[in-house]
Amino acid sequence: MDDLFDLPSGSTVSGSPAPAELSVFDPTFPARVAVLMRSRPITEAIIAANRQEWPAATYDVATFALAAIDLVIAQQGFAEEATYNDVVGGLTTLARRTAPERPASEHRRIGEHTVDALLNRGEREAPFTYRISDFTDKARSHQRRQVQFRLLVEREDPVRGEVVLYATRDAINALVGGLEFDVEDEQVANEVLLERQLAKGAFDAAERAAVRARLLSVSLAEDLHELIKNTRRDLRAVIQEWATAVPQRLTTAREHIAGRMEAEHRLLAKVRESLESDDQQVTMAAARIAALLTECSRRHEALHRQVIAARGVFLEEQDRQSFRPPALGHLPDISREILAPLLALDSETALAVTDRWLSDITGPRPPKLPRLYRLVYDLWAVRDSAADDRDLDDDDEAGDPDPPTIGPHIMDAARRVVVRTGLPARLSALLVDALTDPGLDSSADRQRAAEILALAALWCFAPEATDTEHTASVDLTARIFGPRAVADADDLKVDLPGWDGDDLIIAPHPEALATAAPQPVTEHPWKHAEAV
Amino acid sequence: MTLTQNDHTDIGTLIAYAVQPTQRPGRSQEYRRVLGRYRTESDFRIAADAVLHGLSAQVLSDGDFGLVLGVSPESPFAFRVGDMPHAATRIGRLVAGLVLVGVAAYAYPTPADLEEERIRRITDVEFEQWMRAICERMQKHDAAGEPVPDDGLDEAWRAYHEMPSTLVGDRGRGSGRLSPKCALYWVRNILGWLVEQGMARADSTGGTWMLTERFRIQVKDMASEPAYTFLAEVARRPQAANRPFAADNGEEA
Repeated sequence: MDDLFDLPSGSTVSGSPAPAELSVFDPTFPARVAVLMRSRPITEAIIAANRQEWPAATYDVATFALAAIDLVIAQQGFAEEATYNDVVGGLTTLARRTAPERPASEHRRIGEHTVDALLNRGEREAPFTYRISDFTDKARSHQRRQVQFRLLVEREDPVRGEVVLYATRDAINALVGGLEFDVEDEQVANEVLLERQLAKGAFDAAERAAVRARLLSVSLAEDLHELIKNTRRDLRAVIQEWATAVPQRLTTAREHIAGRMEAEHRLLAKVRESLESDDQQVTMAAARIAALLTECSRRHEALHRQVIAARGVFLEEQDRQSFRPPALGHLPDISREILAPLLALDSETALAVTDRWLSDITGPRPPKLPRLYRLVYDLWAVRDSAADDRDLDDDDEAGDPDPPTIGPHIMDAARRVVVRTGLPARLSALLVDALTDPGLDSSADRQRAAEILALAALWCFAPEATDTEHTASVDLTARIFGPRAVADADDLKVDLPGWDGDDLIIAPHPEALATAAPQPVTEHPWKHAEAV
Repeated sequence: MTLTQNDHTDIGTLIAYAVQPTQRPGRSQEYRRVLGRYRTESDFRIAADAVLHGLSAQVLSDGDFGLVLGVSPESPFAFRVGDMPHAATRIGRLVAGLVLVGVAAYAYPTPADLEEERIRRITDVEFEQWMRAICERMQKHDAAGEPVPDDGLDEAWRAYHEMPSTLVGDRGRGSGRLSPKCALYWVRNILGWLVEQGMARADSTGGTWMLTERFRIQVKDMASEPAYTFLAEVARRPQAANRPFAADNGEEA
């Protein structure tokens, strides 16, 4: 076999292919191998799953992985993008259906295992990196190439402020099966396929084709999104692209949208005809496909909006960036060029750098400008509401809640609630957490922990003049919230059954209060009957 | 076009939102509206930038996460070391600063990472070990013993290295809690502080934090360059190492 791969010599064996025709020397060959590598993280996740504590061959991680990517793509680009918990939740359901007899915690673990693998959490979310061989240079010598890609990434959702998952181009392509080819052509092929399938009544395949069509639209939109983002960031980096490839790409995209909208309307009309079929299976499939096609046209419309805006972004950025001081030409390597030399400096000089770094990194911090009348008013207001709130403590009359009689486990639980919820927090969030604390056995204990938290919060809000009677309260508050904790009210009331009064905001220290905006909790998790 | 009184009010509204790092345009229609004006109307933008310039601040990003401002140390908006919670002692200040730079170096290991829009995760214990490993690498260079340096002339890494990873207080109010004499305390303190500044979020699982876009923007556009310039200068002229850090470093003259 060796001579099959030898460099071409003068004589060619008749009948057998000349080495030049072997595909491994073909310039497109490494790209094919690279496409194959896209599925390798999933294979590795399957192997890793076999080493976990659940019985081998119980769960199909490959299916879960593709389902996870699908879940992400289905929401991508819309208002409510999928979060980590959404996707893990979806996979947990699948795992429960796979093996209902296994414990629920295991179902969740397999879901987390799958999503973590797609994010490459094991390697701190670094890109997947694989080495492949390349024989395509002129001498046909061996070269190593590195294939790097990500499947899922975590991003910040600007509107909701939550962390959401994004499927990369690589994931979209891996999912639809090695679509390293022209997206446009592939889509045309899909449409033709779907049309033919509908004509033949092959609905299952038609549905699959419709799903593929939608994924392709997402992929195209993602491409354009990337270009616009880069344009906003630094026009110079992509100006060459705008000058050459982009106008053509935009034209293509416009034609593509026009073509797709028409084709999909036609298909939709066809599918709707099938809705009247007598065969129940056919009508159900047709309804599903109709929904899918509607979703597809929504995708196309979203893409259309992007295409329309693209040129405007370019012109606007050109206008803006040409009059802006040039962006940093050099981004330092923080670890090697800043941290290492900084650690080697003498500590006096290092302090100069770190102090400056602290100011630079923080961004603006609104200074507090006290106004006397306002301050006086606030001081009085605090006294007033404290007097009102004291009526809350019915137990005061009923029994004597002497702080030292609080069991240490209640104190620990209250402290745990604060650590778990994290300050700054709303009183309601702390109460709900305390009332659902799994660490306390009886509901009476949970109630007591919640009351302690409420008391400590009130103490923070309106400390009484410290006399001997109250030193215990000061100590209690410090032990639960920390020595510098402060509380403030903002007219929001606690919306929890059995509790009323202001939903106080508790912050770890006075400086944190200004910027704290924790969310109130109004669910009543301990009353399942009230679920909406 | 001349700006009217309403336009100036809008500029004020925009800056008011911008100086509150936890405000987001997604949550407030008014913020979205004034940010939209900043992004689309060049007169409005020029006027807003000029006002900010007077406040010694500049716009680092006007994206979907809101108007992210960078401030020069002389700005009234600048955060001062004294505002940093629990960092009253000199050692505390130094270690807090080192951890802060370390977090950035850990989260963005290459310059290209500073460009990539993506959440970075950081686990307190893992980061602490990573930082310690770096300090240990520095120690190996002078294993043969060395002269005892004067106060303030010992290298910065020693301050971190001499702290134990964890130390739990056993007396008084600090009983049962991490002591400020250990490194993990400072790691958690800094990460918690970043959460307050809208530059990180605590993960629900505990022990893990997520660094947000705001952190990346600040590190990339504001903090790296002056620090780098300063360090490069120190490296070139070692005898001038003790010169105070120029306040206008990185700014145009």
